[in-house]
Amino acid sequence: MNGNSFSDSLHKSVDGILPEIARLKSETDTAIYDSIVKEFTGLKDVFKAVKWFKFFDVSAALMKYFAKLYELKIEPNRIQDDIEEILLFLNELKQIREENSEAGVYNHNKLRLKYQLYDFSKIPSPADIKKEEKPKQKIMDDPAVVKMVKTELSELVDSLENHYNELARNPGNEEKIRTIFRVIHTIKGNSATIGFTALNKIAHEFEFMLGRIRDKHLNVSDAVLSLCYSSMDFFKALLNAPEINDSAFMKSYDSILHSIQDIVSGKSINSSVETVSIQSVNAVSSAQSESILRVPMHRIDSVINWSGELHLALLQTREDIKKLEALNKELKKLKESYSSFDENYIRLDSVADKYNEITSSIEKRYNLTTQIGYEIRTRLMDVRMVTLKGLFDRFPRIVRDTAKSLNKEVDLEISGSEMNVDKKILEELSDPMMHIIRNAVDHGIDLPEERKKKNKSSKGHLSVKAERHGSEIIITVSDDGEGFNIEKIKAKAVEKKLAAEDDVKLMNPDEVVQLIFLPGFSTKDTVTDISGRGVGLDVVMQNVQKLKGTVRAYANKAGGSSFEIKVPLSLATEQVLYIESSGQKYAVPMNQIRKMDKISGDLLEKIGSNISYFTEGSYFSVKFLNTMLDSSSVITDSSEDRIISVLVMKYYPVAFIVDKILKKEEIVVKSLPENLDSLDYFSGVTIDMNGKPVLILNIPRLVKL
Amino acid sequence: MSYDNHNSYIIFSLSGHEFAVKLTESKQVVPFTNITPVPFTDKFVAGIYNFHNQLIAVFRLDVILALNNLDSPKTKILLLKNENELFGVMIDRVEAISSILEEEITHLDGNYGLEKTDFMRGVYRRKNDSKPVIVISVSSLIQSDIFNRYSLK
Repeated sequence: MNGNSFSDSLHKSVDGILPEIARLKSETDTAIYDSIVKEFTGLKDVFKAVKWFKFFDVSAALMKYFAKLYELKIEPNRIQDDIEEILLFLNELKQIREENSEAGVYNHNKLRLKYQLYDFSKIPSPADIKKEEKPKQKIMDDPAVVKMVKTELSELVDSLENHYNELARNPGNEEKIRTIFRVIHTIKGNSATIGFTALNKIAHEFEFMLGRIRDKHLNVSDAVLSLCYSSMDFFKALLNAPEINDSAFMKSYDSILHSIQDIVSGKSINSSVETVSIQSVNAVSSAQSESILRVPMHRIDSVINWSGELHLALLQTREDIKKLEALNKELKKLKESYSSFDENYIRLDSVADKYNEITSSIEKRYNLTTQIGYEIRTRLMDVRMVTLKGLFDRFPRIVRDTAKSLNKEVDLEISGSEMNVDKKILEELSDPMMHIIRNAVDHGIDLPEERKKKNKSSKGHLSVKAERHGSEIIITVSDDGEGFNIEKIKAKAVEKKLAAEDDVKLMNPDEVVQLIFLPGFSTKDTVTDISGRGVGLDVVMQNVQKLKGTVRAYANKAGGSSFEIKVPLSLATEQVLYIESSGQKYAVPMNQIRKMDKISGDLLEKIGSNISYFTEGSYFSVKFLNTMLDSSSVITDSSEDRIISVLVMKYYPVAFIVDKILKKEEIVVKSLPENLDSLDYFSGVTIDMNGKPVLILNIPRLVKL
Repeated sequence: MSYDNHNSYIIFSLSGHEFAVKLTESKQVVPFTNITPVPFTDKFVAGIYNFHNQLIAVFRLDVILALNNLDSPKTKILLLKNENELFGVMIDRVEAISSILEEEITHLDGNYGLEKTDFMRGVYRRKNDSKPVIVISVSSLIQSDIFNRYSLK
């Protein structure tokens, strides 16, 4: 038998079994086992013909397993984990070209042993199944979760096109390769969480190929680029129909996997990859439409933007009303300059009356419009708010799957998922949270044996907690595992040239822990499917910073480690206080301010070089805003007999001295221009009524200066 | 006369030098008003400008190129674009809009009293005029390190 006809008959045989096994996921009748046994007999013979005895043995073991299931009348729903495993194995079988191939995640020997020596007494009873099934279904079949992850996946897949285009323009762009690598890595992770195994598998192989390119073992050839595009099309098709259940799909799947493997193994490919026609698939997905209207975010955002413009326009109107009132006063004065019998007096009097009437009518309308504008804006913001549930509900499955694959046991505790955040924030939080959770199970929680040695319960504990803190939300992920190995982190950072040895020596443990956020840092020596490959925490850092948030890691006092993500609840309007410093206007978010005082300078206390202000029973460290913001400005002298304006902060023991306190305003927050967006001293920009940009101070950052 | 062909350039003066950028890479010239300076940045960042409610970073080419000339009013902002990005540079004034052919742009060889940088494509000499015009590539400018010093990209 030559190689080709072997692979043909292997494919034929596997294609015969796959749908049967897939049916077991929903089938209740045990009669189906009979035909499966026959299929495996056929598969067994295929391997016998080429004398691949290892695979022959696995097939024979599976054949006996199904025969026994038939005999014992064990319902398919009691062996669901086995079914998943066998499905994966069969899908992988099609990739295998030689008997001792290392491809695939399943150790065939282990599989053979498991099914040859299968302990049928351990299959859960139908009663157990009912109890166990619930949480599983909740995670797998929760349509809201699947939908959300799917939306994210499509966005990620869509973003690939641009990246590929740029890569095609400049194949030597290493940064682009790293970006694509990260996108694929996320696709891989997310697809696993909702059970899109085919997508997960291809992404996994694709990531491997990209890793080879990143590490300069491979070049970005034309073959690689065309594979990039064709696999992207296939990703899209897979997102609409995640299960491979027809032969056209299967063909594309195989063809892409082969192409990747050919490229990795250095074989050049000249045939273009066949892709599925996506048309039929789209027809299916559009069938579901209920009374809920799905609106693209950008449409809502454009309405929000316009409501912001309305707000700005109204602020300008208010200034105009003030001018009208001033004119009214002048008119009155003018009137008074005539005697009350003068004809001019009477004429001016009637003009002033009408003038007054119109002004107050405009003012009334201004007030009403402002109120309406406010209502529209808050309701629009509500449209954007969603609970954390859509994200947090995905954690149990990730924790379970990750723990299972690492032979760990983990108890997960979740709190605060009812909290509302802006949809955009929730979306952007998704990747970082997934990374952190997987990371905690993979690197944080220790193995059961090790835990027992340390007198801990064999089950690890992981908690995810969301809390509101002013206008920010704080999400903390804590584990009770090994904690951070400070010496190991130091050594790794030096080895990977991420930090100089001398610098590392001087760092305190807390500073050392933050090194794990550097790009390319990974303390695990082996690459795992879970969180290895040195991608991860740097992505977490980047994503959170995009949201104007912060992330840090620290060791728990009671052992174990914690990750803390702090992000704003909402991204749009904000109450601010306008202040003046060194002749420039700035905005300070109201929710950061405990109180504002006008005090005499002698109330400031000097202790050494530190100046502090005592109020409400505590000391606040005094900072002069004008010297912080304008290095050329002269330090305000002790100002003992001057009245000075002080802003006392709410969450930090800091008080800022400002030149002038102007007024409170509800403002529309805009992002810093693209070329300046890394300046974290400002949380955004607003436009005042004169059309001038005003910087919004990022207090959490400034208090650190 | 239409200027929308790709040979059209805006020639502007700044600190006694003349520069040219492609008309297709520029958006508008606006008066220098209401610029908000940005603390914690170097001198080459002039500030943030509100262009129809779109916030734009404005840069000082004279600082980037280390031009020293006392008589430089810098009263205008030239808005430049590259794909979706919009940013501004401060200029003294627009001198002309001319058609410059690719072959008229010669290698930047001599010393024109300024440092040579990646984003200078070459030099063009106007007829009957000895003053050289330095041709700037906006797409290279926006990719230069200095422009991205405060960018997350």
